[in-house]
Amino acid sequence: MRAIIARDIKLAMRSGGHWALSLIFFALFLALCGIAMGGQMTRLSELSLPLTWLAFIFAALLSVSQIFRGEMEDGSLAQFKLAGIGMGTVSAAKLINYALLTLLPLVVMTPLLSQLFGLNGPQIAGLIISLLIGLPAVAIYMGLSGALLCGQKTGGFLAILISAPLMIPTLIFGVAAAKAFPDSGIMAAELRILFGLSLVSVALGFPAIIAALSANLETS
Amino acid sequence: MNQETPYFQTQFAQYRVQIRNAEARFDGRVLFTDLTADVSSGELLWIVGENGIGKTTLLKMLAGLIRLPPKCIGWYDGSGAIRPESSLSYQTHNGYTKAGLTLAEDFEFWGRMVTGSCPPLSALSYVGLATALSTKTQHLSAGQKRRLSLARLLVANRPIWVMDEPMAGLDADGRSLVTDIVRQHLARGGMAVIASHNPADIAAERVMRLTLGRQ
Repeated sequence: MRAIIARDIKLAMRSGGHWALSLIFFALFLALCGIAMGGQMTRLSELSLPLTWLAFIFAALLSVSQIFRGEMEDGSLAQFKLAGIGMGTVSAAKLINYALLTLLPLVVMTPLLSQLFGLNGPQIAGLIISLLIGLPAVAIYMGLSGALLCGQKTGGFLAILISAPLMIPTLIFGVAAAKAFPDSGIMAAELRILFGLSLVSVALGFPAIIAALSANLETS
Repeated sequence: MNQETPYFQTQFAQYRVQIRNAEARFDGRVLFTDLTADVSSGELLWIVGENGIGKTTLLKMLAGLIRLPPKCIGWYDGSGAIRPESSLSYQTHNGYTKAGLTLAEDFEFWGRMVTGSCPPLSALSYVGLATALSTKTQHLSAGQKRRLSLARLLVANRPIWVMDEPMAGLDADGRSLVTDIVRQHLARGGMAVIASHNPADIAAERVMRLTLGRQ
């Protein structure tokens, strides 16, 4: 699994900045939100938590089709199977890469972008913690749409249709957790629910990803 | 050519495959039906047939990449039924290389995936790629990619080879290399299943020809 992760990081570094697409979208989306709201600080700081969470999910959606499609199209997935490497290992490696190269840079960028909205320290901390705790759920649901669609040539809009309903609970409790953190701290009930949602999504979503990949491999 | 090479030293145990009444459909159209054949170690199964007749589909079935009704295709070794994944190498029509990696990196990656250790780069020299080690895979020609997949076959060291159009894109030297490698593979008790349009110029002692489609 380490070899797959290392190879994908190498490929991403040589891709001419392709991996940064989501990051640029995330930054631009938030900057444009700031402009669209007319720069009124009071309204902005109120809306900044939901806006950042929305931007996070949209930016994550941008790269959904890339998670598994490359491996499926060039036949690598079949070769992994023949090499005796289970779909579980391949999926885990690809999801870890997606989380590291696409989602984590967004979280790292968040403190900087929060300055646009004039958030204070505890609010920024709450936002980052909620994004980090929600990250596994986002990665799994995006991975599931990627795995379901990797046999298709197109399907970007289907990816949105598949992942949007799954993302709603994470979005609701992600925003709620970010809001609750400055008052209730790390033990806020919303944070704990978000954490639970993340764990449930991994437990249910990961086997579904493996099943979707295997099914797509057999019909391709 | 190179009789003393480190790649053909393993003597393989007995393997055989039974194809019983296999059939394939695509979009409701029947590609082939009632296909029956038996192949054992040391034998070459040569699959011929017009374009779109299902040669690649049959290869995928043999490699266990397409799920089939039970007993349609069965792989056996001396002790009983086996799953083909652990003993089989499948050389696809369009080699699975990742743009962005160099030839040597791509070769090393797949060598590690299949054998668990770093494969000897000398295998790349053996197939005539010594000068292209640091070429990015997207700049390789079709023939060079084909040679790369030959090198992968060599280091994977598996008894069953399933090859899709192994001669495509190769020059005369490359074609004789394929012939040579497949012959040595069969001589050490290996098995090969090859789909190709080219006439069977791998003059193995035990070639079986399987024609798909209207006969």
